[in-house]
Amino acid sequence: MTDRAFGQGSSIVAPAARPGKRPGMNQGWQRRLFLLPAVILTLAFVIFPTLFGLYVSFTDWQLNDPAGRVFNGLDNFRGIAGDGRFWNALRNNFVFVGIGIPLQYVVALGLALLLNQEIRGRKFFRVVFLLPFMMSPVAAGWMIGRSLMDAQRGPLPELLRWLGFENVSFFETGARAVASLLLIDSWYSIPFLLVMLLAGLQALPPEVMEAARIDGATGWQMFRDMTFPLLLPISLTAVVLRAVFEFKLIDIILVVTGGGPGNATETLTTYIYRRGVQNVDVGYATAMSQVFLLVVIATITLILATVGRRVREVM
Amino acid sequence: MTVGTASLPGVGDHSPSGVLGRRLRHAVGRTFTYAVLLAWAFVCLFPIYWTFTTSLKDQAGVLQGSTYVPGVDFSPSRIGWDSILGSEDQRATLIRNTRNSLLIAIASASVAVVLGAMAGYGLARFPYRFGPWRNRDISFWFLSQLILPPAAVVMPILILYGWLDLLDTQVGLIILYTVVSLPIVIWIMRDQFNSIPVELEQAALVDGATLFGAFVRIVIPIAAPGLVAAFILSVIFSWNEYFFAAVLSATRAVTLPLLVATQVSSQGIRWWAMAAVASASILPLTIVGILLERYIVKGLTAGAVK
Amino acid sequence: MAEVHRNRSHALSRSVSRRSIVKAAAGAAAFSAVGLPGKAYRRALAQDDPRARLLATSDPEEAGTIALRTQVPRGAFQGQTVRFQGLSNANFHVNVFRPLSRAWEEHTGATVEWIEVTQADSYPRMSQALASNTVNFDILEASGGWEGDLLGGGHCLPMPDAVRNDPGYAFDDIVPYLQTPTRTWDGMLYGASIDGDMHHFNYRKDVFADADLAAEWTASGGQGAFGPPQTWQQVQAYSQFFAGKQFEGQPVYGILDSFRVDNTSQYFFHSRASAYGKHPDDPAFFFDLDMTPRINSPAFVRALEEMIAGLEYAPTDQQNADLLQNLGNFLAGTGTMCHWWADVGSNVNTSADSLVQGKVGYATLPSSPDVYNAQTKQWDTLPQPNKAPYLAFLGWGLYVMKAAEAEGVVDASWDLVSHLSGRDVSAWMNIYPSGMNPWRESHFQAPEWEASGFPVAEAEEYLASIRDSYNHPNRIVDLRIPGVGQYWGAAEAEWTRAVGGEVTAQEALDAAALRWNEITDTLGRERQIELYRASLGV
Repeated sequence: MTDRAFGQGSSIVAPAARPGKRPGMNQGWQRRLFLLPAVILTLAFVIFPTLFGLYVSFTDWQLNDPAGRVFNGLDNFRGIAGDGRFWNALRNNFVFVGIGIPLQYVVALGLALLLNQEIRGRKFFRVVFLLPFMMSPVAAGWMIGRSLMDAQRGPLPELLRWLGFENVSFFETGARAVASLLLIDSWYSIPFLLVMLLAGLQALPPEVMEAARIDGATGWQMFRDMTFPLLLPISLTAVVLRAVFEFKLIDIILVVTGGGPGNATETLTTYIYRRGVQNVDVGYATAMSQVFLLVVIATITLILATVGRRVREVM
Repeated sequence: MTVGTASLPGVGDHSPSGVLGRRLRHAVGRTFTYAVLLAWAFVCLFPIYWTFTTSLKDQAGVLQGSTYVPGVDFSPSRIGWDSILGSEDQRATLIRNTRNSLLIAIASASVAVVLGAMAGYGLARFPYRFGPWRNRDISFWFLSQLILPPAAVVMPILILYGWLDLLDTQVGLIILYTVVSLPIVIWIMRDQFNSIPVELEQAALVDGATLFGAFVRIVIPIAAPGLVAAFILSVIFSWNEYFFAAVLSATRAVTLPLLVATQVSSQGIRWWAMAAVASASILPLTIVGILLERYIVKGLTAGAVK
Repeated sequence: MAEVHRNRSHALSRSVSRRSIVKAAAGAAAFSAVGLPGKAYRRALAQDDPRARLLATSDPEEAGTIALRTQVPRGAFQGQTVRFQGLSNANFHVNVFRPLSRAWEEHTGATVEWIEVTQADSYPRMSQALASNTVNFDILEASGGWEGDLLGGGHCLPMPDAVRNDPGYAFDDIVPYLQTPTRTWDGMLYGASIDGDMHHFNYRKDVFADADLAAEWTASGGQGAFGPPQTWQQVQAYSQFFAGKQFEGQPVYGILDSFRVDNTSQYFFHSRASAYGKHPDDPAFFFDLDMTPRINSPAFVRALEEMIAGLEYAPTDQQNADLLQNLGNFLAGTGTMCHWWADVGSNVNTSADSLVQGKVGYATLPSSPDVYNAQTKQWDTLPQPNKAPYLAFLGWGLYVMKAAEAEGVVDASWDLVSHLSGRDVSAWMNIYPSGMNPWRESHFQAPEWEASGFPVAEAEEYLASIRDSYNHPNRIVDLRIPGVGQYWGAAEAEWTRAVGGEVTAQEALDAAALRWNEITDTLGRERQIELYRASLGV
């Protein structure tokens, strides 16, 4: 149990270091064969893009520059250090991850707890709760952000007008635009967390839970002492995966606010897309991506290290 | 949260007043539960319902704004569905893109699930070592392949695919989506296998099975639901991927998300058509969801607790 | 090529005979513009005149058959495949070219493989293909603004004289700015137009003719008689005046500007700055001749400040609006003024569901009494208000790539291009919705436009404003040096920051100028100067 989050695993063949013995003869190879196909495929696919990307980060490469790629040392990274737009975008990334992930996790957990009870129409709720995730983020951006929330013709502003607010805008200020985007993003993303958490809940050993209940534990105590800790491992995987996707949030932003007003909702992936794809400044955009990669790896490592330690303590 | 209120009746306190109190609390809890679940169901469904009704509106219907029931507060129009199904060309396009999307999503998810399950099993069971790297580093390495934004790798992949002659091929997109789905599958399946007791496999090994034989015959059946869950998540991701599909396809490997984007141009937003394509592309996934919903949950079940 | 020459006589006789027919049609059209109403004109000529027959059908496949232009005999390109990369815009562009080309495919025996890209992806896709050597198309649909990359980079083949001089192609019929400088590079003709572009001014005739509003205008001390604005200052004053007013029970708003960072808002900004920044004595607008940016000059600062001030009176969320939202809002009756491409006008009347049918007037972009003189660094007040129509985006053109040589489909490619860019096919594409705007002199015959539901009188006003923009002596031909995308993207990212009040207009545009200088330096200042001067024809 303890090492699940880190995949250290418990060996089937208990004395793993016993290569001489008969049953283990070719097991070393067999074991590797489990991992190798995935490693080889991934490696074959990413090795060129990775190395090429590293090289490009140290070049000035505007696609429409007839000079092509020109090595420029650390210029790109120096540029990034002084690029206000970069730091603003990175800050926005952390706003989206910092507010979005906890929010989505709490809502998903709450729904999973409710859905885990013996209730009527469970199948209906489960399918319906999964539906938002099936809509493409691009379509969600258009249909919710640009249509449902449209200040002139959208039902949501109309509802608010009906409630007595006048000229409601979901995107007028930076803070509002961020909140509105988080709303759309959460609508789309909560199902992903919900499915994983619900699965975790379903797997809680019923005997243990029942025993605790008979012992007179209240709902809150049960949750605090039993349910939540037992859910931690799957929560960790779910949150880590979600965090990676949240850092890469782009489709919804491009469709709904385009990063505006001003640069208030521009994330780093959005900026990298604008700079590297739309404005064909590939060298600089790739350099930014490397920094982005490091930042995300550091953040995920931090989550794994802190939450992961807690997982091991609890277990 | 209300998890405790859902206890079985008749357990614990048997005193009459206690039962009454319990019943009352129980009823309140139930009502609350259903209220929240129904409210959330509304939140999930409304935008999708809105999308569907928008597909039945024409320009006037869209400009009219907040109308909700076709035939009641706006008169339904065929223009949306006509504009993706109306002419021979349009039907051919829709069919081609749907077929490509299905093929690419299912093929890539299948490959990812097979390779990912094997790798996840390996990472759950055997201590690997690549130089200084242990299992957790390998898992993390897979995960880290997800992090780079597509915009950062598009040029090298374009060049690579140009060399390999994979541009505008279904195989090209299948490989790409497989690599992107692998980390998700591996992380889910690793959790899954971790939770399956090793004793079963050990027994099989003692009986003379090979590692791979034990994996296929003993472990996979237990973990099958988890595979289904990972499969569905992979299918959804590939199904909705736009960026790479746009860059790497031209005429043969074009997929459905490209059709959604097509509805927006400098001549205006064709809401009805966009909504129709969006509705049409949710439909297959919804069917998959209904058919396989029980497996998603059961599948991930084993992963949570050993 | 040999094949083409062998069949020259046949092709020539064919095109000559077609030409005489078309000429007759043009004559008849000119006549009918004075006298006959359009419908009768069409009915009268529909039987025997191919042009009239063409414009009477709304079926693109039939149109392609009637107006088929080719220089080769049947089956001449048998077995060849031409790869055409164009825009996927639903119902438009490739979706129109495809059926229009069926007859050509059938005649020549060639197959066209259509590569569809979205409008937003089209520039990046082109750049990526060029830079990664994965050009997998023979014909490219591209904006005149990308010619710096495309032609400056030497990726295309010049138009063969056989195509250019073909009387049936009627090169001289093309409006001057699309003969040169646009579509031309270093004195060599490359592109074949299929579209012309400019921003003109759309306004609500009914609102500006409203007696109640007129009375209120005078009562509130409005300058001059209430009516369509002539200057940007009046546009601003009306926008302020309309705030909070009602027209036919709906709130009435002034001008619809665009502030969203999406590589299109700059066109609206440039239009707002056009009359302030383009001095009749100075060919330059965006840069000095030595590539010193003018984006932070008082002209642009003034335009930006006015745009931002106008937000206060604009519809809710206008700061998030893009060009599409403005188009949609204007057609829905929100907003009384809108500077846009000619598509607004064609949508107003051809889209059955536009709510402003018959209520829209058209004019060239507003003027300004004073204009900034970049030489003297002074505001000059000219005898006449200064007007500078902005030829934004420069229209879509078709370019034949060098890749066609390797595939051996150069002749087939040019033959298809000349079919789609031909005089009659293009007229059909303009009049029926295809995403194209007029770009040939022969497109400006108002009676012909009646076929698509455009009343002749309105069509006349509409076409005149477009034509006057194209041919205006003080027109601004959009930037077409390499790196246009980088310049626009960088500037837009900066000036939109002033919208939220984060920085002042001047600060934002200073930052934009800084970025423009960086871009010029990376792309090579000397080369950029040379190309910029060449693009202005100085």
